Amino acid sequence: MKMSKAYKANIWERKLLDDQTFPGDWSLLPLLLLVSDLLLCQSVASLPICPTGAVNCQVSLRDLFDRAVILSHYIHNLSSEMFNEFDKRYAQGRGFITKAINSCHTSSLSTPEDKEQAQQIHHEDLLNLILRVLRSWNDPLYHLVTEVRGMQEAPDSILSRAIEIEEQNRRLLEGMEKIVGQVHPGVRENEVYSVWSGLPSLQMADEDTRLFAFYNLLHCLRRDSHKIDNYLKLLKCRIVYDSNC
Amino acid sequence: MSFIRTIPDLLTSCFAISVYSADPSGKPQFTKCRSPELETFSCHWTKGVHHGVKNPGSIQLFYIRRSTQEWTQEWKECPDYVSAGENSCYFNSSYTSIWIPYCIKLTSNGDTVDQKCFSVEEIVQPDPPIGLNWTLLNISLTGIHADIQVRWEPPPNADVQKGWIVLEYELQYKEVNESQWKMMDPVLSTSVPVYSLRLDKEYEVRVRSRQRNSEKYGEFSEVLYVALPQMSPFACEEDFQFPWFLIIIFGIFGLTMILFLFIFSKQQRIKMLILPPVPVPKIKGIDPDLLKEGKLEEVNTILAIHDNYKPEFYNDDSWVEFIELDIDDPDEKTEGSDTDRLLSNDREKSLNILGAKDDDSGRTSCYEPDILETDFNASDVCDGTSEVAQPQRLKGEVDLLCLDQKNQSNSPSTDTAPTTQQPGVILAKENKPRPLLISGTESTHQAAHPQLSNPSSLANIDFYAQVSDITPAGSVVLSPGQKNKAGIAPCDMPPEVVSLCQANFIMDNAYFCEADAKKCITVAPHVEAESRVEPSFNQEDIYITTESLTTVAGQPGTAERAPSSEMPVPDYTSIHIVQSPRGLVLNATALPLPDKEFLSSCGYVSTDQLNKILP
Repeated sequence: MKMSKAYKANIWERKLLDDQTFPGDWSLLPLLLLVSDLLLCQSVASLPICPTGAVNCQVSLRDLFDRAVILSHYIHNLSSEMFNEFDKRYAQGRGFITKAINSCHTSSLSTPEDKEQAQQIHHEDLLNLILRVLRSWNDPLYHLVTEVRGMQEAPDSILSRAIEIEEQNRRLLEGMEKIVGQVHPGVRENEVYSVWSGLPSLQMADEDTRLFAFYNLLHCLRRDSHKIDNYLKLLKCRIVYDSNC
Repeated sequence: MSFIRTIPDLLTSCFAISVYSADPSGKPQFTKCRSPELETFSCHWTKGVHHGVKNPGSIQLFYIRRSTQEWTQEWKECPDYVSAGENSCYFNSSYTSIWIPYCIKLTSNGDTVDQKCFSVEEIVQPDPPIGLNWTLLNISLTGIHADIQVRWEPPPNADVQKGWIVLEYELQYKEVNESQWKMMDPVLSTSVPVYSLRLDKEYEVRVRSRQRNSEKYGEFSEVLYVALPQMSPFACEEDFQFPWFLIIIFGIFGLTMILFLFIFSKQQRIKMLILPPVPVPKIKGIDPDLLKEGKLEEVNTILAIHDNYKPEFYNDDSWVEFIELDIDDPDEKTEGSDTDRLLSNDREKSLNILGAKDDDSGRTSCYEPDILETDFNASDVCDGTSEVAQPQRLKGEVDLLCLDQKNQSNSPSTDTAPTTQQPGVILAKENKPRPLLISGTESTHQAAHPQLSNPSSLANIDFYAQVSDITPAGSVVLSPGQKNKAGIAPCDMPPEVVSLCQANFIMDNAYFCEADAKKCITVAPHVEAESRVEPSFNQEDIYITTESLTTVAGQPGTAERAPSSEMPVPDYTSIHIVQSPRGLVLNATALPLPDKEFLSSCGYVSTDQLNKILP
């Protein structure tokens, strides 16, 4: 409770700066929005859409968050499906259940692990954490696409989803940077992220080892996408709707 | 270091999060682990069936979770065996970490009987929504249907307000006495309209929820009873159903009418499309009806002149195909006719032909239908007087002729005997009726007689040029008798005489006047009777005038004189083929009619004129 009060005080102190303009790339999000609406059955109220190349386009924070949440939800859906597909196709009977052992490369980032911790953390820090996690996944996603392409009999469903996730992740990163620019302008932290070193294991000659490395990576991806989705929904309710979704 | 021991255990026997294996052995095992709100979770198990063991022993649950790259050292025991009910373990929020792998194991008397690994975000199954209610939206104009809005509250323990968990809901409804629930699509909001409920029915509604992105639904809420207001008595009894049936019927009817109209208007064209007319075989320039019904002369005439006239019977009808007669082929011409060969300069060849077995050249058909009837020797191949038979007949005739010559003393009368009705070539001895294309009668008899006086004079005997065949080259093939006269050298023929005349008469255009023929004759005045007419006639033209034959035949004696003046041979030849510039030279003296017309061009007689003459 205390924390929430303090948080509230904080948030009212700040001034929301004027909305920034959008790059043309980010304005392609409306198309994704439509797709997401179909997927998620979310009745999003008519969002103002910035035409490509518009200079003085103003998008409110609410819209930014709405779009970010849609993106993160989409990414989590894709990664869940991808993991299930991979598990069904390659991991059956191989004893990959030992995922309890696996560790994700983003575990080093100290992210909140339950609701209390998430509520206690400052939203700026949480935003930064989200950014760090997203950045940490840039490299693994890129290599995932490459390696899945090179896989023997790479199923098209997995490959297409990997490609989609990689692209959406980049977009979400851009969106988050915009949000951060709006919510916490000024000081820009150094680009911190955790390095992924799992590429050699993805390229192992031994098929079992290689498949396990894939399994591990996809499992971590599913978990991290759920984490980000949760954080963003929490932040949206907190920032935009004042904890009253 | 106990985790090192435990890890192999995990490696070997850890269960997948989604696998709830049913172990029939009766041991205690996990049934379900569940987190309703992503803040706590609980696990349930079954005690199992124990055979004959009174006290199964204490069952314990141990858990272990990994935190920050390292496993906790120890398996910890379940913090709460009570709150979640019997045979369960409840982990409150302090023990719950999201996105962290957990492993739990069940032990009975210290022995591990079951193990499971999972993460908390994977086992979320929310509680059912609460507070269902409905409101009437509207009633249809017919008073039969109504729409309602159903509302509910999210489960209380799910922190939806703060956005920690996002739920979606699924509503199901059915009529009270139905058994099958109707499902609606999942919605994110906590109220949803239900359309088209009948006013005279009662409905049941229930809702369940699940975390978005998950697959598993929570339990169903309590059932909500919807009792709609009663139908007003003024309501319509029956629903309006779109008259699909009528529309279909009328549509088919209209289409059928249009189709029939189309067919009737384009009847002819459709008929042409479906059944294209098969072209009847036709020879260009020749009327098929004439072939069927016309007289022989007309047919032959037309066949002869088709090359020249080619009447435009069917030229503009593209459907009609014509059989093209190839009459200008020189190869065929040379091969086609025995007469040619007989008349050829190659005397020896012709001799050989006569003596030799006949070859197949020029053999077109064995039958000339309806026209010719002959009896031949059994040795003859064909029944008709075709070229095929001719060589054989020639042979026979030649022999006979020779015989005749040899047996001059034999009764000449016999020569003429059979030829009363059909004067023809010799072979009188054999009593062969000579098939003739025409039959000239009366004069023949007389004509034959003086001719026959000299049996050796073959020319005298033969009064008629029987056109027995038409070669593809277009020449007229005369009967063997004529041929004999024309150029055969059967018995003994003075070759010199022949060659002399040959030289004179080798020309392409081979119709002769008497005068020309006489020249040939005069050259060899002393040619014996058996001398034949030299093959002076160019083989290209195989028509021979009777007159020429008679004159050329080399009668040293009688018939040679002044053929125009006297009438030793009242013979006539019907012309079946008139070919310009060729033609048959008639012996005009034999004809009863004034002959000026005929002598106009050296004996060239047209068909019309001939028809006038003949009966």
